[in-house]
Amino acid sequence: MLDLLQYEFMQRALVAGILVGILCPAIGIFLIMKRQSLIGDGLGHIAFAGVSAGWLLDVYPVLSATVVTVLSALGIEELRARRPAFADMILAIFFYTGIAVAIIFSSMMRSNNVNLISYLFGSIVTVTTSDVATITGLTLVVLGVLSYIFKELVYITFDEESAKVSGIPVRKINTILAVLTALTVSVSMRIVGILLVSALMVIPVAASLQISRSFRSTLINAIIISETAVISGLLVSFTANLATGGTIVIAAVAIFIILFAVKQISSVRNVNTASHKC
Amino acid sequence: MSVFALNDISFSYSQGNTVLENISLEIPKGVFLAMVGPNGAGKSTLLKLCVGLLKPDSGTVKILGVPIENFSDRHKLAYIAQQGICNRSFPVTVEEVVAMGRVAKLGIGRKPSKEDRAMIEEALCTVGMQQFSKRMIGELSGGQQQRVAIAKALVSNPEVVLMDEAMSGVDAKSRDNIYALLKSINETCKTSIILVSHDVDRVSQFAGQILSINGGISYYGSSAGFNNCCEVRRNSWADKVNWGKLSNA
Repeated sequence: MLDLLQYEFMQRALVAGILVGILCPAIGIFLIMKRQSLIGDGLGHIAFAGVSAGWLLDVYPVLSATVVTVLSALGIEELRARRPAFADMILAIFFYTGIAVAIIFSSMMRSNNVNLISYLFGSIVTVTTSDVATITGLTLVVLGVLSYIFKELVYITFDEESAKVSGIPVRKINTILAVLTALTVSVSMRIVGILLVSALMVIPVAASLQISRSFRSTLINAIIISETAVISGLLVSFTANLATGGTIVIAAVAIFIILFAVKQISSVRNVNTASHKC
Repeated sequence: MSVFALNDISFSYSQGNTVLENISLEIPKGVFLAMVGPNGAGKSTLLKLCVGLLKPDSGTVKILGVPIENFSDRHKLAYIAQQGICNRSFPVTVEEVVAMGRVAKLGIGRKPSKEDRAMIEEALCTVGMQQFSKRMIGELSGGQQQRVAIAKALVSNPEVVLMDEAMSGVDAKSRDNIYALLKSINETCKTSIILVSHDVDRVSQFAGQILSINGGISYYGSSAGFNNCCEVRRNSWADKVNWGKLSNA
């Protein structure tokens, strides 16, 4: 591993990957518990429109994607709050609009789309110093805000009505979560790629739920699982010359399968032990 | 002073489907009040109008003497939703659930202190759940989960605890125990308890006041007076004909 760190691009990828590995499950745990797991996917596709707009207008793509996803997240949250019964449909409309705009913009580009593809699938080679600086800055902002509203967010996620009655500004905090999710998508797409950004929000948390016995431990274990998947995925993708995003996500899925199997086996053992005692 | 003062409240979920019409009501402080009535009578709707989860089509609501729009001391209210502990698959311990009851009082950005942790422990002791503090909420029975929900409500020392049909899925014995617990909290802490219940026979044995609703108010008074309406007591509370007769009680 130390040999790999002599490459500057690997150092940049590792720093960015570690930050993304903390961020994705820290936001993902709230999305899963609110049954909004697919919002990351929706925002990812909107981010693709932002990236292609950036390339077309010669603007830093991470910046253009961040602006587009944050504005879309605010729009989605506003419409969902007004029409909660149509929340899925609203997300789907934004999702398809994002893809449609991205396809139109990318077809308007004269040069080849190799760089655009690196955003879609994630790439360790193309992570620049500006990317690392942007990812670091946005990660600090997201984690700072998240820790500030953490207990309110847990309460709202658990029981929104009671939280509202007790005076917690539910609407504001849900809007902040939407913005933090948009920022997380923008930050993570350089490493795992737009198509798989949601996977790193969902799978480590799903794996952690198999073994954790409190909210705090679910969050901590999800971050450990996510970091294990990111670091092992980066190393394997470099040594085997595989797509970074795909390799990271497959590593996370492998951890999930192992923990799921362990839980099932221990449940069967517990049932057997209990029936022996009877 | 009244806990809630409702003046000429009407509410409908959609046009032409009025659930409550011209309700005026004062609920005094320190009361243990059960709102009863048949399905669709508007009990839960009335409770939600009281706490601001729903906005009335017309009329005004005051909480602890303050118009609801200006009421800022919301930590004085503790609300237990229809499903009690709503999300059983949520990965939280009993202790973490009860800690949520302190969130509003603490304020954004402030971490719980030693004193807060002591209050969480005390609330768990009050409901007899201290030995379960590290257990996952989804591992508890329906009755135990209701006790945790009550501990979460009590931990902020509220002036009013409101329960919206939170006893579904709880067996009869546990239900009686929880009603008895609420009665003792009402008597010892002087906390106002307002609950919505289907279980008119049992709840009227514990609550001091009964509010019977069926579109409008058909009875509001002492539970002793309510229990004296023998015809209604003998027959099912869901029998709307008998509920109608109560209006003259």
